Amino acid sequence: MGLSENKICYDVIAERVSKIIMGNMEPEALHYADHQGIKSFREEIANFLTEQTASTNPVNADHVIVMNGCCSVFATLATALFDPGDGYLIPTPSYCGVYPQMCKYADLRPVHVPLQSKAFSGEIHAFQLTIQKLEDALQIARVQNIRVRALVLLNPNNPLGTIYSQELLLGCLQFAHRLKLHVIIDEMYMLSIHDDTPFTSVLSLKEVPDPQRLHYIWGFSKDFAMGGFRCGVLFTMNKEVKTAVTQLAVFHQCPVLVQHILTQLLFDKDWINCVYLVKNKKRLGESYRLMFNGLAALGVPVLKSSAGLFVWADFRKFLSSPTFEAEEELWQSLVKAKVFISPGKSYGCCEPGWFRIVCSFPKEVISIGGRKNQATSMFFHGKADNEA
Amino acid sequence: MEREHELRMFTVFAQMVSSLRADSSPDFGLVHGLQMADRWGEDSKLMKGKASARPPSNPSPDPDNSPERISPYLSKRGNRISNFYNIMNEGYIAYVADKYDEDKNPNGIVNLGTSENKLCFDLLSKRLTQSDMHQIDPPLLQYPDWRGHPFIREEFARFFTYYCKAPAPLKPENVIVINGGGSLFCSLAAVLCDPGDGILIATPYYGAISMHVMLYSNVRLVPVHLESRMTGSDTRPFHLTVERLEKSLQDAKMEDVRVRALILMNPHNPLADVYSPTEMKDFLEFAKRHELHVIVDEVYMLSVFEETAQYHSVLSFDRLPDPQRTHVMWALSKDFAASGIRVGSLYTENQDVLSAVAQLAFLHGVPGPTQHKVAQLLRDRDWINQTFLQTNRARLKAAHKYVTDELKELGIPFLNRHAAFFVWADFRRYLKTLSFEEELLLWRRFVNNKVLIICGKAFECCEPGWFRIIFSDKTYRLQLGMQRLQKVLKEVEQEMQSEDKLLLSQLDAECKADIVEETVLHPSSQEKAPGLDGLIGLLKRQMQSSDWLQKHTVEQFAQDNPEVFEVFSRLAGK
Repeated sequence: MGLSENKICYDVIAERVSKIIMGNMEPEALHYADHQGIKSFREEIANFLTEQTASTNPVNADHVIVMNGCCSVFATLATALFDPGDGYLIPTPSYCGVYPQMCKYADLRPVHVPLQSKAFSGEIHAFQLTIQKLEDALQIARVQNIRVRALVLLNPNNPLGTIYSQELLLGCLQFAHRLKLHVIIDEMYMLSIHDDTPFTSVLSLKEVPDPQRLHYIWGFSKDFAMGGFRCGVLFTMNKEVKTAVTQLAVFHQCPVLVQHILTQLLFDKDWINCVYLVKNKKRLGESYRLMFNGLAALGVPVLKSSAGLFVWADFRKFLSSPTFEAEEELWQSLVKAKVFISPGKSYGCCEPGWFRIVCSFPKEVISIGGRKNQATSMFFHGKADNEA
Repeated sequence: MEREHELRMFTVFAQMVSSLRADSSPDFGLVHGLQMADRWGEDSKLMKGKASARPPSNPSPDPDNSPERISPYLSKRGNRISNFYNIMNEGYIAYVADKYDEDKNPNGIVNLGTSENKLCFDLLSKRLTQSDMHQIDPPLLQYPDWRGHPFIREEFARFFTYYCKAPAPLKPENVIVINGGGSLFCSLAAVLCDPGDGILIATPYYGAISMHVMLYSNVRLVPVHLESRMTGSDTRPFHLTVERLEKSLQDAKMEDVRVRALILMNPHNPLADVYSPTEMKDFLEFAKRHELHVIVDEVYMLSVFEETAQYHSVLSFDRLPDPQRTHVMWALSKDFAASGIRVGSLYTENQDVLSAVAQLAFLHGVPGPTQHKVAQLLRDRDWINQTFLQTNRARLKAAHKYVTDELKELGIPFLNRHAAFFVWADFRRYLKTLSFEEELLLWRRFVNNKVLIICGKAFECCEPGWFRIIFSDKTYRLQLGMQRLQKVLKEVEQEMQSEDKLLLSQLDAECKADIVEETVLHPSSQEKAPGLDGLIGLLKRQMQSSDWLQKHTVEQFAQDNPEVFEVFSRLAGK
């Protein structure tokens, strides 16, 4: 339950993909292809994004680059936009435990914008991002002599599962524009929303202050549960950025065979909208509620969220001390009990005791995980009681 | 007759000199006045003049000092990457925009430039669409081990053991599978080198490697220039020897470049040479002496279509001189004619290198379903041996014969080899002057005439005039491509002949004028001043057309006119 993969709809996806694979193979499937992705696939992606994000303007296929995963998209973008040692602002907790890995070629420094569990005045809920927090983090970066070049946002957020409001999104874009920062927005979970909270894609905003510095990432790994297929997409209207990224894209190409398969998948809008997304939302919702309630029964509060394949759970009261060492201890004992969940430290969370638990599993698996969790946490509960 | 020839050569020479003067600053320092002009012998140094200077060792402009185009949106590194240019890209872009298609676009560009095997799609598509290929197990849809699923690494280890004829079974834990040869060069450069470091490579070489090592890691290739002219113990043109490797390494050290590795390609691209085991061992020993890593690219190892060529993989050696620094690359792109499938592998015993590359491998992932297909393919030894390899090699051999026969007809010299997909051919006689500018002009003419072949500059060849021609394509495309090449070459030949006539007639007219000094001092008085390049070319052709030089040597002149010679020597010494 540590790796964020959607295993809930494997049957639905596998069935649809198998039908496509049985088809004929074209010669171009085995030849060198356009590094940015074949035209027909980019056009299909452009149509797909236009529809699913309710974009203000239709997405142009010439502004789209296809690569073998969103990590590659981020790595190439970062290499082109940043010099070695440069930094980017990222609200934490965030999928940035892995971001430094993506920076192996690029050699970057994430500048955390720490969010807390306690909601302060003006904030609607815990772990909320505000512009003031961005300003504060930028100030600290300046003092440390880190040249910040961009703001990176994940919406819906990983690991929190929360969605940015339209006002907040705009506020972030305006903040970035003021400081001439690039904005990289990763909307990889945009179709993995399990309740009815409205989602505002950045592409649907009517007025983007600096379109030349806005770069959009999406991929098949989460929303289509196909992490093994290796396909991620960059959309940017900045020609110069696109040129630089396309040079690097040669090392991260999505094979033509895969592009053909996915083209056909996207083309089948009926299947996507009426079969897959409906089932996916329903099953994600069920699993989320199961996990939420199960954890509540164990006395583990969970941050209320709308999206993603996981929950953000509060294990603070099970820590022997409010430290990251204690968090690690708890994590180790859970691993020994064969329950693998991710500790908050790996997301740069500034408070020890939070864990991300992936719930995009069939119900049976969650129950087993829940039982194991119960046994372990009762042990800790007991321990905490004793020490109290 | 001889005097006329003498006057003609001298006049051309004098025009060249004045052309140089016209371009240079006033105090050029050339001898003024007529007295010397009329009693000059030839300048033997000029006559032995080399072809234009060697190309710089990096194909791209030096970006940290003067990028061609600076974008305010990109970092310095981003601008360097954006400005990286290779002529292969230009050719490929032109081709993609105007692809030849028998029915839909018969006037499109025939691609005899990109090294792909288009001869076996029938065999491959049949095998790749069989039912055992269509498997969608859950693990294939999910994140894999970034080194490659265990099943594919086992398959690669078995495959290499058999086809490389390894003396002992090779281990799956020494294998990493990522998305293609380019990514292998890219990640190896990142883990073996630091920014600014160098990797030795013999020229001509497959030009894209510069990009692979430079883009992310800012590593440069250090060329070991090979020439077509055989000297000393050379047994073939462009002969790589340990002496040449040693010299280039020393030169690099003098320029403060830290060389970390050596790249060897066997079979070679673009020469199609197959190195003998002795040669390979010598190169590996050289590397060991200097503690250099060796990246051995064997991507064409199964595409040797003549038994007599006797190919040996380094993995077949009983003992490697430095196994911890020997890293072997192979990919499906060439030998299985599947460049679009993006699968390559690294074999090395060095666990540090493997771990480091594995860290980067998640950026170069191969899709699960593709890994399954490739493993199925590699496992099917019967199909490989009985269906695929035999037919593929026979087709390659026939296509090679077709193109080389055509080249013979045209009287174009080429390296006659029996591996890979291309022929390295000598087009020097079609260059008006032996320069890269002329080579590029010829290349552009080919492209404008809708046939793409790659010019030597793209391979960092130090001699202009060489081109690589692909033959691994269907006969009708080869036919059309060769016809289009021939058309351009005939045009060039005719132009050169009529230019010679024109220049000669101009010179004849001048010879009849009684003052040579006018030509020296007022080159602009001519209505159409021939360019310097054109004059050099004409001079050379004039030299070739008579034995005047053999008769009129510097020594002879010194003997005949000692006082004049003394004055000349003093002035020339300035």
